[in-house]
Amino acid sequence: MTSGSQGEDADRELIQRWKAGDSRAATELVSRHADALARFAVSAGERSEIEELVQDTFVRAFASIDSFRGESSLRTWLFTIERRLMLDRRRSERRQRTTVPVQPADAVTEFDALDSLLAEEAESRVRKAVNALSPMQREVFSLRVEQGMSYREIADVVGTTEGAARVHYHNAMRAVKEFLSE
Amino acid sequence: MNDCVNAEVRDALPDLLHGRLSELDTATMKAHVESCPDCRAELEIMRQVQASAIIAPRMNAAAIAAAIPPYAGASVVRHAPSRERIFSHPLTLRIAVATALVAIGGWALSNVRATDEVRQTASTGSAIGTVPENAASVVSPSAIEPSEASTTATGETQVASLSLVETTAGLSDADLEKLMAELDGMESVPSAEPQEITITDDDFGISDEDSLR
Repeated sequence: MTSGSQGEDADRELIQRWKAGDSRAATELVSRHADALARFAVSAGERSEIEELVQDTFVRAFASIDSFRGESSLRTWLFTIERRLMLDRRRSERRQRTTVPVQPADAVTEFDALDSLLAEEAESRVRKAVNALSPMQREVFSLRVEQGMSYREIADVVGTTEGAARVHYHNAMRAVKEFLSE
Repeated sequence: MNDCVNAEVRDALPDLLHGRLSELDTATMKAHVESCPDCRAELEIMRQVQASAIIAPRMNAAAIAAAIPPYAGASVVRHAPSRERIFSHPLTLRIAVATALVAIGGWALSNVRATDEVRQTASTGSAIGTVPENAASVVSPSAIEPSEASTTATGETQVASLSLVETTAGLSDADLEKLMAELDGMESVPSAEPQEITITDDDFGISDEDSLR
């Protein structure tokens, strides 16, 4: 019921151009996906060094571009890499014990000023409802609603099955509705 | 707030929100949403979620792209371990050596037992039926060659091979002693327990560097 092969074809062509030595193709690829990666990072609870995270994601992806077989879209593959980097970050933070594990509700970061400007939206009931979800539900819900990914793509990103991603999404939507109706 | 009974439509609501549907599906979905209050409410929640999302900082695509190193060519794809690599793995090597030692030990032990039975048969003059079938194959060629001491007056020879495959009852004490001496002198039969065998990496053509990997 969905379509997105045109964008995937464009990604494949850009990858070939970059391999052939066209550095502008890399810039174009970054332009196509960087903002989505930043949004995903923020929705997953990241608040600091977002651009560094996105940059690391692209550097890793381009370094192993030959392992990208095109079985999923490039964006899905990038999200998968970024998610692993976020998990590594959190593990590292837990080991160092210098920071509290990132939680959207209580993170104190360099984006505080921006957050305060958006306080009205961030503190809206619907955002609170989303923040009350379990980490997996919130991740799946964000990928489905905010990123518009298919269940297949979500399953690839979070490392689960398509059916499990569907169940997580519907459970999340049910929880949000219950929160809002209280 | 209830759920629409049409699960397929509910599943596709985020796709409608993101414009990921075909023209026909979009028209069908919009017609359904207009007539379904549950789907309208769910779609509204999704719009609120999008609107309330914390705005991510804008990315500097040029700066990010500048950090990407140029394409270095096709990377080497590692396939399954080659035949040479199998023995470079410490555990595999240990298993291979242990298996070889067990096989060699078992073979040597079976030969020792067969020899013992031959000795017992020869020394006690037991019945032919007790001689193992493979005993003849264990005896060295020298054991079946005629000897001067066992030559009879008629010119026929009572050789060790006959004494093994037929009977030892007719042999004199001197013949039996000679037979025993010849059996003791056979080189192909181990005279004791199998000796320990040491197998090194060189036997497999493995260098020290390989064994460290």
